[in-house]
Amino acid sequence: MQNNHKEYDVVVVGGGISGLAVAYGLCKNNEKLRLAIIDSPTELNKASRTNVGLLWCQSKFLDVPDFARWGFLSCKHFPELLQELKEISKIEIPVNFTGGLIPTLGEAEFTQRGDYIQKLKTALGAYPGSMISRSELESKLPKIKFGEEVTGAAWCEEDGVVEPLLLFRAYRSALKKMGATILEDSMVYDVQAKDNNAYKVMTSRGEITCERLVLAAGLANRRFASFAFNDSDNATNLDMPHNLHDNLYDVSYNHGGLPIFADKGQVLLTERLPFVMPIPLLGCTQTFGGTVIIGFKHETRGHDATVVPEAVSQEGAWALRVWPELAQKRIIRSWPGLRVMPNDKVAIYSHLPNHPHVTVINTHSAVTLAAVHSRYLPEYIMGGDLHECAENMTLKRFGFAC
Amino acid sequence: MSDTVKIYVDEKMMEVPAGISVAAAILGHSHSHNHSNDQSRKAFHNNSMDASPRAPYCLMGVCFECMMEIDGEANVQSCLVTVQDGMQVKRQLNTEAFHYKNTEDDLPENRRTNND
Repeated sequence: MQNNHKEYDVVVVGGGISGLAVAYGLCKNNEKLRLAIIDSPTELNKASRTNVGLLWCQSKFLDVPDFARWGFLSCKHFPELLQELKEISKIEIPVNFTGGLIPTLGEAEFTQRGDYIQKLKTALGAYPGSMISRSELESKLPKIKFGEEVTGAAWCEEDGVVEPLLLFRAYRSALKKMGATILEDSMVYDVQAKDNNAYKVMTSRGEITCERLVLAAGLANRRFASFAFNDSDNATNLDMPHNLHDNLYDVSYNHGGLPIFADKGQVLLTERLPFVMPIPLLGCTQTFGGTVIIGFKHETRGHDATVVPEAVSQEGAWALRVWPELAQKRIIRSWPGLRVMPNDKVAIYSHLPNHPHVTVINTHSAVTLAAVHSRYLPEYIMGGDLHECAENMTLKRFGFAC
Repeated sequence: MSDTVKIYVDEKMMEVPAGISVAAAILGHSHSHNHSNDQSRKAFHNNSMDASPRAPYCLMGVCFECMMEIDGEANVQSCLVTVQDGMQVKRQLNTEAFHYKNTEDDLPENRRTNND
């Protein structure tokens, strides 16, 4: 496949949930669009393959109400997205649009969560959730015996949970049927501007040129976007190691000017249980396979993606306080994941400085946001405006001219 | 030392080679507890969510498809346990399934597509 030169209208670098979501929207809007998605081998660190699949709007972003609204908007559009994907891909994606719960331990935590929700209500004008008492929690999840310390929960009816890997697969299957090219197991070594409306992507399958480029490569966006940042200090040390496995965690790269960092999570997975959790509990969530994923940590450890027993055991200990019966269940596995976290924790949807044909997408919560990514970002990628909720989510807020 | 040991699977005695795993022992005897063409009778357990019949897959402790009750302890990975004389093994057959619902009628009203 070397030196196999190809041309596309749009190339999406990164075949995770964000890249697939916008690629799907782009293909849906224009069936003649020649679009390619380039996805790296699975051994590379991939946030889209390590997450729980929560559709989570609640109790977030008091200081950025538009981002909170953006999440709620995505959850509202999710049923329609899944219906479309099912029709095209023929894949049934398990989902529960049954709301979501954040359990609280002790009175102080209950009060603290309640205060936050009260402020969110004020900031957003309306908010589809509230604190519920322990007895209300028990009536929502009657098959779970909660620990003595559980005082109640934060409840939001707009939340839910989707099978994230099947969402992923349905997007990929739909895209192939819509005529998109998905280049699997392909490394992107670098991207270059030929001018400001033609780009060259150097890949393990040869060079690819395109008119518009979408960088949805998660943390690797720092490297790929670096060509557009003038500060030469940011553009050093970009050589690619020859051995793929040396590059598992990207540690050798300087940040290319994009204000994002790796936010580490690590989770425990229990054996399969009978179905007991029709409404997802944040922090210990039953999956559609019957297993329970336990985890809630946010750690800043660069690209260290090892599982630390002391850290996951804290998560396990918390889960037992919420749901003591888990103590009798086996732990099947544990795994880490690196969330893609903008420095101010708000999504970045932005053209690069002087490159209106290049769009960077960098956000955590890419499952929750998939529906708005598919629906609203394509217009911006093709030269239009961002949705009003997202118009302040460009790199301008970090001082870049774009 | 004997070359074989006696284990009891669903209370039926099986004489099996010593030193092998419970999963291997039962796979080796699968003909003897399967008297019909019904595939479910070959199951080691039924999946806790969809009740589908499951049997050992990876045989190295990763997939959890070989779970059975061993000496009174439920959900043990039988591929990781060596047979012992007198061991009591029970298959975990439970046909109660959960089917997730994903139809328009199950959606909250504000999220039905025909409500836009």
